[in-house]
Amino acid sequence: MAEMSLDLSKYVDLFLSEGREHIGELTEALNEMETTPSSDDAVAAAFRAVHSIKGMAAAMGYTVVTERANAMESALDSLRRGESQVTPSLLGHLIDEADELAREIEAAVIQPASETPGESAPDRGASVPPATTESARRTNTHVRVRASRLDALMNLVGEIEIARGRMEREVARIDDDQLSSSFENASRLLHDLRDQVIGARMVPVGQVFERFPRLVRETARSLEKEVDFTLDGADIELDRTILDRIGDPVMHLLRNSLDHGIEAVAERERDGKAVRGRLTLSAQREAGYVLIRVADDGRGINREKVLRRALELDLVDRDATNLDDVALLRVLAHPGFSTASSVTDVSGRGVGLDVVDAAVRILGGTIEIKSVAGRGTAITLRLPLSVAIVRSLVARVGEELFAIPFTHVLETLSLEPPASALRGAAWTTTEISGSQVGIVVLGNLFGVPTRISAQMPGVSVLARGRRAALIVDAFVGQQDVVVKHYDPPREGSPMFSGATVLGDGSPALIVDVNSLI
Amino acid sequence: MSHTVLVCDDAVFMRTMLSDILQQAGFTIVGEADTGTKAVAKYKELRPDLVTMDIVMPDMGGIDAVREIVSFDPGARVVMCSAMGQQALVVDAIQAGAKDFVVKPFQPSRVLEAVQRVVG
Repeated sequence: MAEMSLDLSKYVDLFLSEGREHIGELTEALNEMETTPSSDDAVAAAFRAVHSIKGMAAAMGYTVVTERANAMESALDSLRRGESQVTPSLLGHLIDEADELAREIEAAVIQPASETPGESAPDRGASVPPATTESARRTNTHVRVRASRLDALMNLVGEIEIARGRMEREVARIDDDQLSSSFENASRLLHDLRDQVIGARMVPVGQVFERFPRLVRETARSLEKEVDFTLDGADIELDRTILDRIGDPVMHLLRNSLDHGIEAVAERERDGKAVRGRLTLSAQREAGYVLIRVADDGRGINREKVLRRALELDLVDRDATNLDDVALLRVLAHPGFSTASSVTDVSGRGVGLDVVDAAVRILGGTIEIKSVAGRGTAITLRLPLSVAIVRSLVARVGEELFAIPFTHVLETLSLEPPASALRGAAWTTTEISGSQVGIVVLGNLFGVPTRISAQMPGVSVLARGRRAALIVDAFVGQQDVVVKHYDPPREGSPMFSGATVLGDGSPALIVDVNSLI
Repeated sequence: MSHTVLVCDDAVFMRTMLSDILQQAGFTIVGEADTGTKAVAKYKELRPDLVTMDIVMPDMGGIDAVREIVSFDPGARVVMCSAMGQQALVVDAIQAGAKDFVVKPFQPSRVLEAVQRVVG
């Protein structure tokens, strides 16, 4: 028989809500025993309530609750059997015990009996212990805070950050040692504060991912495939807003793997692969980002078939003979490519990848794809830790400043703008180390007066699996910018994802790289 | 074809946990009941391959429910779920027609062992 274990943290909420219910029933029954000591029904109801609490607590491993409920059960059982009588002193004792039991139920979920190191406590919402609970048990207390309040805090931190930037210039101008040292200290504290506020919005990905093992098992079973599913990095934390929005896309990717990636048992046997397919969902921190990866050891994507279809739909150059991973993603993520029903079975992949791509882009993230025929496919979502603060490259175009989110930045370079740029073209191409690369001349695109010179600074970016270079006038530096709400113009394409105020107080628009290339 | 199960317990918590264990092992939960009376009615309606039955439930206890189910269908396969300290009741339950029993708190492997033996 397969080794099996229960993740008890899933049942904490249920234990608490049903435990409270039984406490309510118990209290009611004890009250009735007080007014009608001869009521067998009341005794039986009280017995059932503590019996249920005992069973649940034992299942959760809450020994303190189990023991008290067990003692109460024994007393009530002997009343039930007529072996003892309801006396005022016994009733008083039971009422006290019920109060204790109620407190212990609340305390038990705050401080789980079997706390595994490294395992983060699940979000228990409003499970605040009663005031009388020992202070030692309060160390893990959770308080439910409205998300809008966290947003407001984040916004304030952003404002302080901007004020700090202005002050920095003043401090540099005044050039006083005492002042500089005080300012540096305040800056450090502000930085810590910002990290704390961002941290308050973070939750472990396990909160959303823990429903996947079951979904995978059920899907695999319905497809009659043998699959070993692994979930790694459940304790990695991500901004609540981001996490909430990637649940469905990740499920989509898992389904794709099960449906089209992992082969049926007979096919795997024929190909000499392990009968049981492997599917892994992992989360991992990488320098300011969280990588969510769905990887299978299935048949991989059939590039020839995808290419054939892409040629039919005119999504690639007429003379294209193969698709690399970047081109593959671009084709698969093309809206409508995968929804053409004739394609889904042929391509073996890509069902709704455009939907996943769109969801990830909105969050300022990117997708990467790696697929090897016969070996499997891995799709990685690279997500920012926070939607509120974006590490950006700040560039000047004409007299204006723009922030280019680091999620997209590959490298900075110096390049020679093609002749068409001189004529005012915003989109063009040029050759960089042997291959044609798309060029976006931001000055021309934004209609900002700019002087095209022979060599211009550019930034190589990656979005939607496509590489391009953005030409700017100058680089100003890199900075964590606080995203402010921005109302895009009603007409035209939304080229900006938000606005920000830089350290020196000047406003800057945040470039939506995805929409440019 | 996976086996169908009717899960009877007055606690949602227990039903949920038991359903999770059984579903993970490939069983299909076709119904749940929180009283003995409902357990009997649901059994007649759903005719599941297997019933898990709590002993202490309001309205009608699990042992009486087993008795009624077995008198309706002598081939009924019922596994009792009892709490510690109810060994005496387990004997009653077996006499009433239950095939096996598991003791709370559940150990998933023990639950599966019992139900698989019963449906096997």
